[in-house]
Amino acid sequence: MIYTEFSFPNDSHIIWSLMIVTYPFISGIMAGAFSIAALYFVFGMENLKPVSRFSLLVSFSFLVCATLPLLNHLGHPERALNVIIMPNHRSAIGGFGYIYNIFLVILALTLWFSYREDVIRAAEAAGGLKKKILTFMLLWNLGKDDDTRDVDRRLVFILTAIGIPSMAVLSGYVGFLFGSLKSNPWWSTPLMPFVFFVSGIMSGLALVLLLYLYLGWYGYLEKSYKCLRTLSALLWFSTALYIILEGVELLYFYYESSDAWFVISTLLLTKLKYSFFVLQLGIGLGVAFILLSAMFALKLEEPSFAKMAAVASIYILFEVWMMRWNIVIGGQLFSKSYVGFRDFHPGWMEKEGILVAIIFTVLPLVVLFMVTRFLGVRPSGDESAQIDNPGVNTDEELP
Amino acid sequence: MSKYSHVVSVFILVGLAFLGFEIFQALLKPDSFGQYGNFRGDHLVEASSLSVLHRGDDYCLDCHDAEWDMADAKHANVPCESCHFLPGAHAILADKAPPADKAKAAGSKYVKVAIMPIDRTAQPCLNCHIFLPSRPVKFPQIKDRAKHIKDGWKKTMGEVDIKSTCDRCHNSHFPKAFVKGVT
Amino acid sequence: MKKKRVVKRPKSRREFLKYAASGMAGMLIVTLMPKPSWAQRIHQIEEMKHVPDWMDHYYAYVVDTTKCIGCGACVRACKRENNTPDGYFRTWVERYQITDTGHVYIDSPNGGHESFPPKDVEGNVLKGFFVPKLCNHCRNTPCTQVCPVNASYETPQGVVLVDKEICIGCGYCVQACPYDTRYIDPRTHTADKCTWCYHRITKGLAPACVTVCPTKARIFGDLKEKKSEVREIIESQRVMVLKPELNTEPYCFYIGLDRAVR
Repeated sequence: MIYTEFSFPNDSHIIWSLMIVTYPFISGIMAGAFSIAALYFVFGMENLKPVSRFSLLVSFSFLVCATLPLLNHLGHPERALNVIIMPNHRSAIGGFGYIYNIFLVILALTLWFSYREDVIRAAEAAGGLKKKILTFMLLWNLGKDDDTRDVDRRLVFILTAIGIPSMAVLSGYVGFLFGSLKSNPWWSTPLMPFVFFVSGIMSGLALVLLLYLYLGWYGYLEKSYKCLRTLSALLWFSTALYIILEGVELLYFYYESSDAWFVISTLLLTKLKYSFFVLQLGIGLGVAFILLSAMFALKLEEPSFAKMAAVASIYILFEVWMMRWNIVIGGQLFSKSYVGFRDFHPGWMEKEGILVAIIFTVLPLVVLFMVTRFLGVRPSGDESAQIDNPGVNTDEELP
Repeated sequence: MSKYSHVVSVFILVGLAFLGFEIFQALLKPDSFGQYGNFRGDHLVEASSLSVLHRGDDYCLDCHDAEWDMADAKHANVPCESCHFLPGAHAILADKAPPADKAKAAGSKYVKVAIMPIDRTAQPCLNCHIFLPSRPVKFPQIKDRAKHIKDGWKKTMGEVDIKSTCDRCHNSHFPKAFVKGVT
Repeated sequence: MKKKRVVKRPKSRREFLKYAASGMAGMLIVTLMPKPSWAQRIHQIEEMKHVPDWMDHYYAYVVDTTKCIGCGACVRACKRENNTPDGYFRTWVERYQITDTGHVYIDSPNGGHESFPPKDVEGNVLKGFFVPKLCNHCRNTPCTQVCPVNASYETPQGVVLVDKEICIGCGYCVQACPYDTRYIDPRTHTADKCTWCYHRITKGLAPACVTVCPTKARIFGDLKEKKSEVREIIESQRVMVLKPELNTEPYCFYIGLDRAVR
């Protein structure tokens, strides 16, 4: 039987558009940045010390901004609290309120304990309103000595350890949200949470690496070649894992050759031909992986290694964004009749348009800049270092 | 001052936040939530109190039973409201209609309550009776409308007018029969 | 013991006349009795909120695709009764044409609202049929499962509804429905779908699409009622559901479903 094109009459709009592409991108970076902190605080990877507390800050600023695209997407943002007032415990989004808030509390506490001393120092140095706010944030407890320092360190260890599973759940949950929908063959695969989780780790590593190169170069963070190498190695490892996952997923679809492949093959060869094969796999994943492999294979030394790591990170971020696009938008480019296809062209000035998506993607970096500026925190512990603007690095966000 | 004092205060804060959330949740949950199941119970009443527009034939029959002698008609299964107007709209205006005695004095058989417009073009007929290969084979369908009119007309008057609507020849209630003067 | 109320199905005129003719005495009484005024009659119907044991039903729907002529009366009736927005459909009709060249032509111009104009296809049509679609009111419901705020739920009568006061408009249920019967209403920004005309069935009427169907291709009734038409059909005939491989357990059954139906 050869079907001519037919879409169900209600299937005329893409209801999950750029906002739903932006959310997993932001939450992925959040997860990746947190995993760096976890590797240092829990597993004691000393090489990562220069970026350990900074990546907690990155994770936090992306976490607090993660809900904004979701809120903007809702038809009724003013009812958003219904998700925690009367949650449906069978729903994947219904658990979002709990998962998100638990991780927010854990991350906030981790930050509070790990940056307490810096904030005390800042509060002592500051005056007026700023001092009052900082003292309030410290809960009027400015005591610091070796004992409290020891308590803080142990609590950071415990909280980060608890944070790992909640971070994994929060970032993998987006994948579950898509993967558990039996109505959509392009989404419905048990691998989806892992694909989202691993690509999230990739994007977080890439962004922290970029920011680290930028800030290390300005002397804001402690410059360490070992740290850079470790980050790059982790990036290579997660990218390799991601290639395997994506490959296995496609291979299964192809080999099972069920009605899912019936629509996926058409989708990939028509509507997603360019954005999946050329942009995501070719330019994004292919170039980045070749660069990363070459860095280690050619045993490059510091200046060129750092430059190639930066370029590879930008490609990785691009790849992850394209992957979000191809999953979220790609899954809606075909009708549930499986024989009808449509196009999607986002507008610039719409409610969920390109401009708003760019703002929401850059916003976490602005928040990161303001948080570091206001708290006067010095991630490397070097008091003499001037705080530079970490919030202008926006060129890697959107293709 | 204990070395744990700041730890205690921050966890008290977290505890208070949790408590506040519980109170907040209890306060904002709709009262009827969980009345019949895991949903807002009042919505069942709300959803069932919307106004009804389509009434079905029984509703029309209550008053118009006199001309209802359609037992053997092919169109007995076509509901009145498919061709006549919605009885809901018909009746809602009842209060504003002229009183029954006035209407009777004016020579009307029924109380006129609202205008019931009927689409007298061929379209309502063709919705069902134009030939489509997807229709059940036994269902009466017109393959070529011009030919249908031509053939039908020959029997009767001899003149062909392709623009004629169906009710020129057919009685909508008894489609097999022809209107007077045509037979 | 509660007396079970029989859901009133639309009677055919033939039936009505049979009843009417069955007793001359009865007719005499009817003619002698003063008829209620229009205003009274309307008032009675508008005030009839629910039949007394309105919860004590379990509904099902049967679509007989062999009888459907694709006139679109159901689509028009649904649009009027439920005031659905333009371009969105609580129910629609699909036309299938399978030709000797092996092609399956499917179309549904404006959901079948203006019926179907003849369509040119390649080759000769071997077989064709119309398939009316509507919310399947599943038991293993993908859409209520994913609703984060319990705005979408199953009533005790087996009807799946959307609470527009609570719905946050996330669109997850629209993604989860394999039959694409849900949409986001552009006027209220909340999810909307077929309710089997909940406001009608709780008053003992049939859904609007069933009421207006001229060929009885759509049948609605109560499974708790022993002699209901739907129960008889489901118990005695070979019925099918849409996309059975997804295990959604629809309570909308189809007679004469072809393998080509999407």
